[in-house]
Amino acid sequence: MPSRILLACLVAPGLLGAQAPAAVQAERADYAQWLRTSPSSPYAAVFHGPLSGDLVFGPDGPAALRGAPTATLSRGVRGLALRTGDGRRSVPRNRDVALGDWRLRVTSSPRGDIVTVFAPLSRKVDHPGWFPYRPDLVVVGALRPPDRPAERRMLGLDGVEVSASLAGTFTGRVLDQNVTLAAYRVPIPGSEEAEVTVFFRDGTSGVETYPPGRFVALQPLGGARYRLDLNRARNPFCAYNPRFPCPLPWPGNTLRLRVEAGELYEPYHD
Amino acid sequence: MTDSSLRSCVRPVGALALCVLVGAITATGAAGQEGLGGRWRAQLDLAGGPLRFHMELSTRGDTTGVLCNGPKCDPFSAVRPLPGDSVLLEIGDYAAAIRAHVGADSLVGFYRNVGNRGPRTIPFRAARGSWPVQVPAPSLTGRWDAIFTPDASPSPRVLELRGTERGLEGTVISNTGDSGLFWGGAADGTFVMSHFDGSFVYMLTGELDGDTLRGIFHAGLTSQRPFVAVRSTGAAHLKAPTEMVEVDTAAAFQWDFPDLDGNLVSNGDERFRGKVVIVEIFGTWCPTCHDAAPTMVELYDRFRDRGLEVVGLAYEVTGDPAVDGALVRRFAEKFGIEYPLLLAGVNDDDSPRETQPQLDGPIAFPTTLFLDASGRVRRVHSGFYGPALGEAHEELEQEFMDFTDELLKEAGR
Repeated sequence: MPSRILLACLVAPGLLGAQAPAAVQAERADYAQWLRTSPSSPYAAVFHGPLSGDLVFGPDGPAALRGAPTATLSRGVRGLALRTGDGRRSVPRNRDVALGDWRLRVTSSPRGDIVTVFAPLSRKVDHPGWFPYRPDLVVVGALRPPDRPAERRMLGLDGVEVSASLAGTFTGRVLDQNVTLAAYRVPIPGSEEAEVTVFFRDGTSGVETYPPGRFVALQPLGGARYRLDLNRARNPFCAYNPRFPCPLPWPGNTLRLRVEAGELYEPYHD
Repeated sequence: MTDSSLRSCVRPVGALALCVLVGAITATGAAGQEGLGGRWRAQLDLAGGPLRFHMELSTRGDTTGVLCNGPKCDPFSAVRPLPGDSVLLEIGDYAAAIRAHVGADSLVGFYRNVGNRGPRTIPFRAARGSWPVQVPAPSLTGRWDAIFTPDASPSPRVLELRGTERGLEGTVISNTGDSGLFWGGAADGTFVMSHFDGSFVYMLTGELDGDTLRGIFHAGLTSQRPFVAVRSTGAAHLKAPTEMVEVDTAAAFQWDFPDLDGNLVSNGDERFRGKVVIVEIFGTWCPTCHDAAPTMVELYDRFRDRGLEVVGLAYEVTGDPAVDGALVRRFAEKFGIEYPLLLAGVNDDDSPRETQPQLDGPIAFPTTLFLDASGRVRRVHSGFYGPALGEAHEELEQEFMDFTDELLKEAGR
C-alpha cells in the first residue's frame, strides 16, 4: 500500500499531528474495532439491493448468497418473513437478523425495502485509519437557515436513501479561508435522530481520502453556532465495500483546500 | 377525553425495551469495586447540554445496579469490574454499556451503543449523591401544543409537563405514540427533562417566553429539533385516538396468525364466528400495553359468559417465534390472560401496516378494535390512558365497558 506508506512518512506522529482528545481517540478505537470484528461490518457485506420478489439464500440463490444457509426472504400478507428449514420467522426492519453465521438487515427507505446481507469475514480488515489529529481543523461557524424549506432524497452513510431536509448553510473559516457548505438534517431510519450533516469534497478527495467525499456531522453549540470538526469526517460505507452505492457529491460542497483530517481511504480489494 | 391525553408506545429500535428485562443482574468478582456502592448523579454530555439521570449501585454480594429516570428505574444487565480501576455497566438488551474509570467519588467515561452505522459514544460522568430537586412553577406545567421544526418540516406534538416531589416529569406525544417518561427540573422559567433508558437518548430543553414555550428536542449526541408550543386549549392538535386509523368496514376484519404453539388462529375459526370480538394490537415491549392489559382482562372476565371474545395480536422485537413466544407467554402469565395471544409480526415502522391491510394510518401501540357480531370493525381506539392518568383512565375503561355491552346487546347476547 504505497499511498499509506507515503502518507505515514508525510504525517509522522509529532510532526503535524497533536494528541487527539480522549473522546476522539475513543470514537476511533471503537469504530475501527467494529469495522474489524462486527458480523455486520460494512466490510462483511456481500449483497446490498432492493427487495423485489423473493430473495433466495443458499445453493439456489444468486452467487453472492450461495454460501449462506438455505432460506427465502419474502414479503407476503403476513409481512416480511424469512423461511428456513426450521420454519418461518418475521423479519424486523432496521435490525440485524441472524441466518447461521450470516446476518441480514432490511432497511426501510422512501423507495422501499433495501436488503443488506453480511457473510462471516474471511479476511483481515485493513482499515486505513485517520489523518493525525488537527486542532486547527476544528472550526466554529454559523448555520444560516434556508430561505424556504427544502427536502431532498439522498443516499446516507450506509447507502440507503433517506429524505433529508435542508438545515441551512454553514459558514466559517477553515485554514484562513472562508467556506460555505450546505447542511442537511439526515434522518437515521427507525429513530428520532436526524443529525445536521455535511457531505464535502476537498483537495485530498481521490488522493488520500474517498473520491466522492466524506460525511461530517455538525455539533450544535447553541443558537446558530455550530462546530465543524473535520477530524470527525468519515467515509460512506461504499468506501469500504463497493456493494454499497455511493452518494453523489453535494453541489457547492467542494472546498478549495486540503482537509488533512478525518478518515483516510484505501481502495477496496477482495 | 381529548386527543392530547393519548398514551401509546413508540416502538423501540434495535433491541428489547427495558420494561421486559427482569433481574438477572450479575457481576463477577467485584473486588476493588466496593467504593461503587450508593447513589450517583450521572450525566451524558450531549452537544446541547447534560442529560441527567441517577444510578443506584450495590456492592453487597455481587455488584448490581439500576439506571433511573426520575421514578422509573431499570436494572443494568451486568456490572463488571475491569482492569485499571474501571467498571462496565452493561445494558445488555440494547447492546449498550457505560464504561467508566472509578475515582474516589467520581465515574468518568463513555456511554456506547451500536447502531446500524457503527458504534456511537457519548461522554459520561457521575458523582456521588442526587441531582437537586427543581419543582416547576405552575406556569410551566400542563399540556402544551407543540410544533417541532416549525421552519423546516413542521410536525405536531403534545408536551405533558407535571410538577412532582421529584421535580418535573412528563412526556412527548406524537400521532404515533409517546416517547416514554421524561424527568428533570425547572428554574427561572427554563426547564430540562430527559429520557435515557440505555437505548433512547432524548432530552427536552426550553424556556417560557411570555405565553410561548420555546425549546429544543435533543436525540442522541448532536441531533436537535427546535420547537415552539402554546398552551393547549382543548382543541384537537393531534389526531383523536378514534380517528388516527381509518378502517375498511366493508368486510369482516381478518387475521390469520400463529398462536404461541404455532397453530394458526383466524377470524374464521368457530371460536370467533358470529361473536363480538375485541382485537388488541400490542407488544410486550410497550409499557402502555402493560397498562392496557388489565382492562382487556377485565372486559373478557366480565363479558365472556355473554359471548365476548378477545384476541391479542403481538408485534414483538425479534421475529423469532421462540424468543418472541417466551416474552408473550410471560406477558400472559403476568396479567392472567386467558384469551389467545398470537404472534402477528415485528414492531418496526412497516410490519403492523403491512400485516393489517384493513387499517389505514399509523398504528399505535396498543390499538384496540371492537368488532360486532358480523365481524366488522365498529370502533378503533389508538393508544390507552393508563392508571397514571387517573380520571381519564377510569372514563376510558367505562367507555370500553359500555361500548362492549352495547355491541353484545345489539347481537342479542
